[in-house]
Amino acid sequence: MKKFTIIVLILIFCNKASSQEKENLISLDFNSSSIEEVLNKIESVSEYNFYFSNKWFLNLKISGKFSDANLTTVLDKIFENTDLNYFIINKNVYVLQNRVIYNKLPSSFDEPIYDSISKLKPKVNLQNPVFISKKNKDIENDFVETIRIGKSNLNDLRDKFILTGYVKQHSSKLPLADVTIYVKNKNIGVSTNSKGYYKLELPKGINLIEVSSIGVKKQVKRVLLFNDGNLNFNLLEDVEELDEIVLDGEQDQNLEETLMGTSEVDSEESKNIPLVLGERNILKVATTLPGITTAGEGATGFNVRGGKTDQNLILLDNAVIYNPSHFFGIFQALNPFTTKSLKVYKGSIPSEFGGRLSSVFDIKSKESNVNDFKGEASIGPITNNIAVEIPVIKDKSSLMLGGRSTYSDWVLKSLNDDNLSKSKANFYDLIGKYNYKINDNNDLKATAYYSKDVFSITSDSLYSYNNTLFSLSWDNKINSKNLGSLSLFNTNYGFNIDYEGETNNDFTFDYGIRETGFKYKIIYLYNNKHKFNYGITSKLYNVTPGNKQPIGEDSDVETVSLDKEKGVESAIFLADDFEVNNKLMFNLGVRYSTFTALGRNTTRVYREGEPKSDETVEEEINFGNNEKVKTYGGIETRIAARYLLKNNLSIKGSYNKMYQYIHTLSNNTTGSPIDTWKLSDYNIKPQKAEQFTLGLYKNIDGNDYEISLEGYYKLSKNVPDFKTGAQLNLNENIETEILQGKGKAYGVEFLVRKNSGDVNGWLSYTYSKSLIQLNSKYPEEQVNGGDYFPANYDKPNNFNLVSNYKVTRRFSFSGNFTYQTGRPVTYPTGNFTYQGSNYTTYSERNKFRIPDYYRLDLSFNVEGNHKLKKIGHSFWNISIYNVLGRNNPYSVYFVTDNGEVKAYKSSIFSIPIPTITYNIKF
Amino acid sequence: MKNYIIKQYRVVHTLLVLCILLIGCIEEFTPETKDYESLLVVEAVLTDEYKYQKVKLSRTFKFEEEGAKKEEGAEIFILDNLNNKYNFSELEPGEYVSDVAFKAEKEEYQLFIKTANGKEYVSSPNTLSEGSGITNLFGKITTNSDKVEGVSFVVNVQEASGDAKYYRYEYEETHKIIAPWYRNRRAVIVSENPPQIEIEYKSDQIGKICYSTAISSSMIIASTEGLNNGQLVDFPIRFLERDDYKISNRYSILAKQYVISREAHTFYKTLNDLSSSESLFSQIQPGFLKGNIENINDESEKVIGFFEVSSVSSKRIFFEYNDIFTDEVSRAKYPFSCSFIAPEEINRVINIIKNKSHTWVTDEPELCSIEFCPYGNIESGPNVYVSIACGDCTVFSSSIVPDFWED
Repeated sequence: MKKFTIIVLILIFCNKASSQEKENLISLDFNSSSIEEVLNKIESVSEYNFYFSNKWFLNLKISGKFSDANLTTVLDKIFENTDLNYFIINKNVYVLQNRVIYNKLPSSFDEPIYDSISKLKPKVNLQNPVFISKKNKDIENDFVETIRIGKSNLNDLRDKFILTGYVKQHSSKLPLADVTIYVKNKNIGVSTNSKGYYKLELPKGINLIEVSSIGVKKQVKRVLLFNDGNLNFNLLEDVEELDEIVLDGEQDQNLEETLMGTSEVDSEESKNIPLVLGERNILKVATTLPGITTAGEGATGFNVRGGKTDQNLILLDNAVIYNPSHFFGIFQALNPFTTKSLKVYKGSIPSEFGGRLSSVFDIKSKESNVNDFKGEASIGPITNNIAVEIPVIKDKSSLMLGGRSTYSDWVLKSLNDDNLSKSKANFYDLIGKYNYKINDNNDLKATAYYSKDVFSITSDSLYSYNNTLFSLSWDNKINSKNLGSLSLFNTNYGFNIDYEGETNNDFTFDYGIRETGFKYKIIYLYNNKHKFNYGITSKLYNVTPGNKQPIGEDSDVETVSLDKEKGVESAIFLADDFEVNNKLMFNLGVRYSTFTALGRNTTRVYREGEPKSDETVEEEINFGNNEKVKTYGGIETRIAARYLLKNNLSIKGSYNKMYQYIHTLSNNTTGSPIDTWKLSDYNIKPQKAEQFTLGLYKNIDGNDYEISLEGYYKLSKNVPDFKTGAQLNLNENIETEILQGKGKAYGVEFLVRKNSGDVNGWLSYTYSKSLIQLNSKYPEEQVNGGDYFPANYDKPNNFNLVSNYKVTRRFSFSGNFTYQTGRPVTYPTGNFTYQGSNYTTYSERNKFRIPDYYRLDLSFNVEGNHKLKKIGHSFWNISIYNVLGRNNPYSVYFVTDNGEVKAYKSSIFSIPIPTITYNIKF
Repeated sequence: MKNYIIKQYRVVHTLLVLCILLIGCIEEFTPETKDYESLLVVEAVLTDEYKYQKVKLSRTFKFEEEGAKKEEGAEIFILDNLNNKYNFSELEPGEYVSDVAFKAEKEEYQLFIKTANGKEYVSSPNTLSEGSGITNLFGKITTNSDKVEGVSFVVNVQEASGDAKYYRYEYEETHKIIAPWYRNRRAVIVSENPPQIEIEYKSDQIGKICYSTAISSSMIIASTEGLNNGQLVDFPIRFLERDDYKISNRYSILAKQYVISREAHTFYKTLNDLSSSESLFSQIQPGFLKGNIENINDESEKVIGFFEVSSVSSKRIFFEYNDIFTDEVSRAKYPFSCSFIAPEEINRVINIIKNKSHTWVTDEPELCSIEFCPYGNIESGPNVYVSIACGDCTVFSSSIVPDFWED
């Protein structure tokens, strides 16, 4: 505290001094010089002596040219962009950090000096200087680092200043979201946003700022605030917390957030959870949370709160990813090392998202380290993964590259079994992300992603599918109140079937969908009570619904191309986070979305109210290129409210309306990667849904335990389904096979989460129903006589337990247990003989259920040692999937083989599957 | 395809679990019937052959039951748009035959059924689907989906009109059987008490060569939709592995082609799709498959079947193993295993002759050399006998030479 004494002495002894002493004129010319060099130059050309610490100057380079200028003019210029002041006395120039030297004592000097002094209104032109008083100092915080912010400005009469900055993780330099920034004894606090940014209004003077969050070490800094300024925090990882399965460490967020039914999974934190074949899979982890299920182990896609698999908007860095999984959903198509987190919105969906009825899966990839080269790699029985982070410009930009591939093809080929060696299953995915911090106000990010799967199940057909996406986003802090973010995206999904049989019908079939669009969003921090979020988004779809071409000279297959589909989906959205008081908060959102189907195509018009078939065609209309075929649209209301009943207990309710203009066509019982996506058109109406939710949230012991209970009721309309045996391939008039029905889903979801301690994890139980109704006055358009029947993925009881037991810092055990009601199946009502063969006949859809599903997985994790000097940090995961060896039926089916009916039941993973995976970080 | 999956299951427990394709498991089980519904099943094909046309009626049956129950006592007629009525009579239970011979011509035909319980059913009107007959039928070497080499009998149709056509095939196959241990002598019982037998010469060669005939038991359909010129090329209707005994001697196949309508093709294709499994991971949504027959008074009653009016053509070929397999002789095994006995006790010999379980082979068992003895370890009785199927093919087949047979 020597500095303190000196400053006070200066104040006392120099109170008569003036910075406006008689001045000598100076001529000077400098270019890209350091301040020290310039000051030395002035010393050499004038009589002045300078007193300073060169530590204050950092590496600032300055340029300037002066002829016969006053010293003050020169010095003002020199110190223009610094927090330095100066004081001239008797040819001596004292350079000072932050402070202005006052030549008068403030009128309040005789009063006791508290930090509250800054709250007094300044008189006349005299500003109350910041005094640092012994009295004001918190003795126990003696070790606390003191930071000076801002340059004091005599003309600034404010007694509160704005402090902004970023909170980052020390080693990775990644922004930390939801870190609490709290000013001790002043009851001022704020949390960082998703970019680690915070903004705080603080009284002038000393502020003891405490920065804390789960998983990081608490940091306390004493901030001497002289003006608006910037203070960044680099937080150290808290090793104690590293091993825990914490879905997110956002204290009380579950209570205070207005939105309902959101879940977040962190990729890194999910690494201990035992998974099939040692593949880390955040999408599978998400299915252990209430409300998110799949139809079975080999089913592609997710069913969220009783919704179909095509009702989820899956975003990777703001661009839609049509199929985020490999090999029938068994593996995620996301590199675990480049994926940061997955956030699922299944209840109230913010108005900025739209276009799917059930949920939003918002997947974010990591931002790579701008300072150090880093890498991570893993070797597992099925895939190899690698990711590297390469800094491009220090502190500014960095490139992350990730790649993954499987060697299952090689395994298959090397087997001495003809049957298997002809099978094929291979996949890979690649990702690149570039982040560039232009300046404090502008951030640029670009992501490119590609994934491909090739597989064959029969020797004559080869299937492949791929996802390609690009996204570019620019975050711009327009001013202290407005944050803008613009993103551009382009996504392609396509699949291909090559068929080579014995006869003259060898062909190749292609399907493709492309969407290109933008979204511009502004967050407007209006005041303490209102935060607005508004913007516009639009995208253009181009669908190639099917091209069939012959392969080889002997093929007589005719080239067929279905009319391309085109459509534009646009929306404007507005949301207000309105905090009525400490207890009551609303999120009032509205979205207006429209969809226009565009030509060129030939559209059939069917007779109103009759089944669509070749016989009921009234006319055919030819639409020209880009001609409007049909426009749909409507207002989607998104309202959520939260009321804090107690500090640790809140109640929330929400109402959500959604529209969906794109649908998958599949007449299979479970989703598959070769289901085609179809845009709404003249005959196919958009799907609509409304959801009502109500929930109770309670935290115990801080947020060591989080308990939530949510109920929902969802109604949907125009959900597409198909007539039995619908022929979907290359069908030009697909509407003749489609039935659009109603959906009704409801459920209660219960979740208890323990976030800390040696034993942690979560337990969830869901009771839900999902029903579908396909009714019409024509029996051919009815299913189950027009009554509600359970959807293929309706699994009323769903119980999950995920837990982790940390034995020591290095060793931990994890376990999952899942129990689900068996899914509904359509079971034969009898056999019949037809032309010499026996077949089965079916009646009511989904009247029976396959046996219940349960599975236990265990894993043992070993973290590498914690020695400081080592090349990399290693991590071993030994896991056993399906420890009980339960042969969980996936489906039951009946085939006619040599004229006889045979019944089979299939399961995907019927035996315990042990795997070892090795990961290394460097 | 389904074979493939079943094979996959067989290896599942023996190979490395590393391989993802192996982990899936398919098990056959014995199903039980739940919610049985008794539905009328109509099999009706009206062809352009001048003959007594046939209609079969039956009912759906439970898994626990052996086969379909016949639907007896129905009244059936076919009506054309010129108001010609063709009545049918039940000759055998559930099998109805037209009272007069007739053939489908250019009219519209409708099938009417009134069952014994008074319910009336009608088909939608159908016209004859016409097209060219089978141009060519031959066997060619292929490998099946299990990568086993064999012969595929394929059909070619040069459709004169060039239009897309839809086909349904049936075949009838006949193969020649040569009993490997046929002998021109046999053992006969002279007296049972005292037991005495005698070896005598046969008066004919019955039992040496037989002919077995079987008909197809799967739905074979083809279409030339989406093909350039409507030509059906090398469409396989029957595959036999090269070591199948059926083709080791002489084989004949009669392919019967029905030119069917697009609707009939869709019906059969869906029936096929619903009763086969494409993939372990996804299954087509099953449901009731509606044909073109419905209850006149109650549209919602489920009736199974499609009234098909089709033109028929057929072609027969004969096939010799070395017509196409010239590299190696057939390694096909006789479909029965031949076991030998040489009972020392005469009473046992009397028994096997009476039971017709074995037939005489030789009275010189000692002639079998030390290096090779086809009889294996046998007792030291004076006569050697072989299991009867190996010496007399009439026990499982017929020695009557079919009319069409050409050697």
